[in-house]
Amino acid sequence: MNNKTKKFDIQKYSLIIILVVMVAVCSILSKSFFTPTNLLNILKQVSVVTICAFAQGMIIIMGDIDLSLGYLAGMAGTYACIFYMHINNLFVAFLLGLVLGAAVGAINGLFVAHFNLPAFIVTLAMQQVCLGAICLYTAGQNVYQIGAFKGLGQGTILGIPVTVIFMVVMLVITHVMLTYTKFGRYMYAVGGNREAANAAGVEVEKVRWAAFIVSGMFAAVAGMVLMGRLNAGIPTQGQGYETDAITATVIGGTSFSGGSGTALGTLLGSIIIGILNNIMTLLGVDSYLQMIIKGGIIILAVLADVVTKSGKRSIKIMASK
Amino acid sequence: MSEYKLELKHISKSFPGVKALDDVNIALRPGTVHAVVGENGAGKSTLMKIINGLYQRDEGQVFLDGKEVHFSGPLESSAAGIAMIYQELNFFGELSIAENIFMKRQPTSGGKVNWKKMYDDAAAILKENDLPYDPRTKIKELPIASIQMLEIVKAVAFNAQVIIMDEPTSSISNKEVKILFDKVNELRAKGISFLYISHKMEEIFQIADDITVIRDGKSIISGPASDFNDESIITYMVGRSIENVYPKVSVPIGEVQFECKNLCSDGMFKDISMTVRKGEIVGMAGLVGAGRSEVCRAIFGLDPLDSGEITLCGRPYKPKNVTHAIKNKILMITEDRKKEGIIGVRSCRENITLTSHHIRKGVWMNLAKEKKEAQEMAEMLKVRFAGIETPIGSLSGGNQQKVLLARWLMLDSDLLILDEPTRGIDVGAKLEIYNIMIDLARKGYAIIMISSEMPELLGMCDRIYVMSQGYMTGCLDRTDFNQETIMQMAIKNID
Repeated sequence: MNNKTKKFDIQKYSLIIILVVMVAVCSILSKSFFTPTNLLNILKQVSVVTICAFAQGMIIIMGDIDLSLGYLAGMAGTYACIFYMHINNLFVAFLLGLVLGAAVGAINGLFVAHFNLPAFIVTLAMQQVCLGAICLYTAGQNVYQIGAFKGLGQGTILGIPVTVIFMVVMLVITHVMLTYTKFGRYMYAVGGNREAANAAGVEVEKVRWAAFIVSGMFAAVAGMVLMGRLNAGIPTQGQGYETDAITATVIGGTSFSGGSGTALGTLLGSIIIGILNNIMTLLGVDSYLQMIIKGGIIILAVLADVVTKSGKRSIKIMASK
Repeated sequence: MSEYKLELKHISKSFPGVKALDDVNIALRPGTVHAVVGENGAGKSTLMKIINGLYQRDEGQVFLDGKEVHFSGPLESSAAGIAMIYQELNFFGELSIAENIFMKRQPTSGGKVNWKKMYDDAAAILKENDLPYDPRTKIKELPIASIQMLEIVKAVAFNAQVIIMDEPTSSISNKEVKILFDKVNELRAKGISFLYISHKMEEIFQIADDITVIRDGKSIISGPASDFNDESIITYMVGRSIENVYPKVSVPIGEVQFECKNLCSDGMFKDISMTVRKGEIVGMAGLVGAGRSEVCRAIFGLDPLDSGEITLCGRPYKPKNVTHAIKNKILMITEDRKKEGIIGVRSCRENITLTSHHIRKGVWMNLAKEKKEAQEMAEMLKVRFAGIETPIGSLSGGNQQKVLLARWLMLDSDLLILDEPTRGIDVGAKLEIYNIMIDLARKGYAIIMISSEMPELLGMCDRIYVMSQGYMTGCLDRTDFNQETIMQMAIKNID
């Protein structure tokens, strides 16, 4: 008999397994769960946070963190609404929103990458700057009657919600960037070992700077989609997305110590949370209890990451030939 | 009272793949200074860690005052009266002198720290030892020499009978050395015994009563200092028979590929001039801290270079940063593989191709081509792994080093610098690295090899530069290679 040890990489597929199990369990728990409307609803609900999570994922892969994402989304989204109301051109307003996001990202990058300040502090401070920079203009008021801008969040193309399309487009962009471009490879390298990346010739400062700019643009997209969904420009609505994005990223298997993670993982992490929220609401779980459960799950996800890293990366399945 | 204060008998210690200590014997008489001398990597530090319990010995016995002792850690050994003063001083920079002195033994009253007593006691200790500091001063504000003195004072204040010092003079000035020695003399007169690790000859003869020479993990000879002189110690330190395990092949040596003149970097090295020819393996010998790595890192653009000229293939070259160096075909494998070499969580494939992507133009990577190239390179260098997608961090040291070599061999090179290329690698893998180096020399690579293992330099190099204290102290051709000469150059005192 010839025993052969096959290695089954459980980490690689664990998210999909969890997702499938969750969908199965939820379908049993609630009749209204596994319906096209509800499933599409879940995707719509997670779209904004997922776009933020793609950005957060890239930054965490690179070994940093971006806490300004949510506030920046609130600011860029609201300003884009205002631009649109002035120029009445959705495309140009969208581009201006992107530029704004990139600009704030560049400022983050300036301090984090060039002056080597901790990203945590810089982006934390940037939260305040972003909120202030929009409220200064709107005098703290919300912006209503944004007209066709709401199409960015409420429209559909061929029956598919635009928000979901945005999410998928950002997924593809993130995945392509991380997997097929040199920039993506450098982000992994910098996050994996910054000093080694530097000694291998990777221009660490440029890479980090660029990543923060990209992150800012992603936040702007998320913000514009969010304001579209709300049918208003509400600066404060962005708050909290940065931390929800961290949750999705971490559950999606991105290591907090940097150097590993995928766009697809982040998407799955985000959907898992979306399903969890959805089913708990469907079952009428107390909203405060929901918070406790969600918090517990984040800790479990990180614990699983640490445990698997400390040597139990794969389980062995004995298969005899 | 037993004859010896501290006695080590037949101490052996192995680490995976290497026998660090092999039957070491040292006997420290009470009230004396016993110098332990040896080359880099001879096993001195391991020995000290075994005495204070940081490492556990595999074989042998340690006797303190004639009684056998087993320490499970530094706390136990210091309670037994053995104090250790490391080369890299351990202190809490942000805390006060008093807090550092009384760390883990703060005077308490009713569960709270008795701050007044602590400061008063500390002030008394400082006064007694003529250290003109307020006990509330933060440690980081003190000069290194004072911190070192404080460590000694602290050890004595807590009844240390044996003080182990690891190269205490490596970072203090000559004047401070004198103050240190006065203190040692004073304490010796009081009956305290010292184990003094160093490789500075003149110091050893100034201070030591007895000397033990360690080489390759074995204690070679012990005796009163008067039985030794500079030459005899050097002979004992290096007097190994060199077995010819090196696959050195003489290859035709071409024109000068790399030349540097008067390279200086403040506080690191001064007036360094070297040449490397095509097909030549040039060694850099010296003790740890002589500045060899710093010179090469400066050439590679990793560390600052203040002045000097570099000519590469006839054209002037000025280091700017690593990317600039790589584009100018200067490549370097850094000393600390883990810290500045591998990206542990990423695959071998990505580690191999990281820089070759960087050199190419464009935004996109060709993944199919990447995989093929990485695979070929890994096969050529005979990297042993479960597959090209294995994270490099899970490989053995030798295989990691081969992957890093593969990274550079993907590129063109006019100068390849290898800093301790075989450190922490088992014998078989070492041989493979040597073979690769020979192969590269045959292809016309110009190679600089820094190594702390002298046999390796003697075995592999065509020429050896020797550095001491940041200066170039000599250069030898292969025909003139001689361990004693190199060691004399390496310990040469510059003042």
